[in-house]
Amino acid sequence: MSNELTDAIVGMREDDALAIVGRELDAGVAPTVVLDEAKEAMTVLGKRFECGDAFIPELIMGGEIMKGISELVKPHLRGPGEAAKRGVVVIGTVRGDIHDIGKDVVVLMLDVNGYEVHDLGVDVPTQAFVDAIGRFKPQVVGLSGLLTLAFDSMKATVDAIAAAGLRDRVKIMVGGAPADRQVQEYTGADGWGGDVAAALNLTAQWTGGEA
Amino acid sequence: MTQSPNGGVALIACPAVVRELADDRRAARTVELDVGLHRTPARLTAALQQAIGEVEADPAVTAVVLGYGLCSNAVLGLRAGRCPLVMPRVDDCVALVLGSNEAFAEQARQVAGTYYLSRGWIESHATIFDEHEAMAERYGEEQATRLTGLLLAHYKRLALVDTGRYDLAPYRRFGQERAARFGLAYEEIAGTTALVDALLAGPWDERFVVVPPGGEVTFEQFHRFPANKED
Repeated sequence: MSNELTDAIVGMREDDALAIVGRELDAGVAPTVVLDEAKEAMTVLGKRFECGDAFIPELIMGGEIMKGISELVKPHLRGPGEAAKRGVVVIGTVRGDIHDIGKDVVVLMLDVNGYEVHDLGVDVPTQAFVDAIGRFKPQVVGLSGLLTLAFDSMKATVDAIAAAGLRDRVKIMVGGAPADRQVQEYTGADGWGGDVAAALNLTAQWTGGEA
Repeated sequence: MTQSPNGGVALIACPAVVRELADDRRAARTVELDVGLHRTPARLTAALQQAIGEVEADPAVTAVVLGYGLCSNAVLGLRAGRCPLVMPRVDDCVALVLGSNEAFAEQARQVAGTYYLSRGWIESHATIFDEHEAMAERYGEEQATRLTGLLLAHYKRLALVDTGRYDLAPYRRFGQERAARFGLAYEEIAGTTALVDALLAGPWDERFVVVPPGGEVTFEQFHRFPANKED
């Protein structure tokens, strides 16, 4: 496995990264291997961000490059050999909050990891989550927010899901930079995550698979 | 418990908050931390704890006030030393200049995609437009415009908070120019100096979290659980 792709993504060299992916796919490298290299780059960026060595624009740019790569890789994943989806996830940024950079990366990573993801967008009303659970029958619901005011919206959403009689059918994770165990308890969710890896782990755990 | 300062107040604050204080308002000691720390809450926590220790080493200091809200939970876990530790019971500095979490939530209900501006943020170079300039230097204007566009994708309104303390004219120009450039609706919304003033002047009533000496800042002090509403 080459580090060339990882380096290009971490170095924000989008054109290079896409060219490398094209070359690798043409050369017959397995699409899952290519995705793993790209995922590794996102992990590196995430760690740098935590240490203060990378900033939001770098994360966004990494996400943009990742989107481009997954578009290139996806056609190679489709076909008779494609495995069944690992699980269904409904996710969105809760009412009153419009921050979606972290949420979008989670969506992307769940997607490339084989989940069926329904992204409800930002400033999502509680009822939209309830409706989506009825429609898509997810095992996992992700409530995202960056602002601390989102805690109350997350709590209202969990309450609305319970009031609709759907609470036992889904596992709910709350996520975003300020999320922690206390936020999980306050909102009545089943788990919390402060980064993409945590969201992937919880989803894998709740859908009976490996991270 | 309602308390008021009695001299000896040390203020540890974000530069954006310091610039919202009245010009004649002085704490016994003022420590301004880096304005960018809010992006890395763990670092902000460490910087705050260190600053608390530093100001408490001064025997003249009798209370430590933080010019910070919950700020992505950065204040949680902070420990008061020998002095009470006081901070406004708000989510962040937007709620601080709007007067309360309720006022902030009301603005979010009206237009969730609001980017807020104030004198403090503009003069501290803490706005997304300052980041745009930094990105343009690093990646070029074209890439910076693309990234800022992505950052602002869900924002519709640029709101200048008018606390009534100062002449808005220079900040209005700043806001109107950026709003036009990045396709946002410009609006001026009413804020208040009430909470900012009470930081140093008191009273430290229910609008504030007051941690006794040796105590710790907890989540419950900011967001109350339904089961223990009495606290």
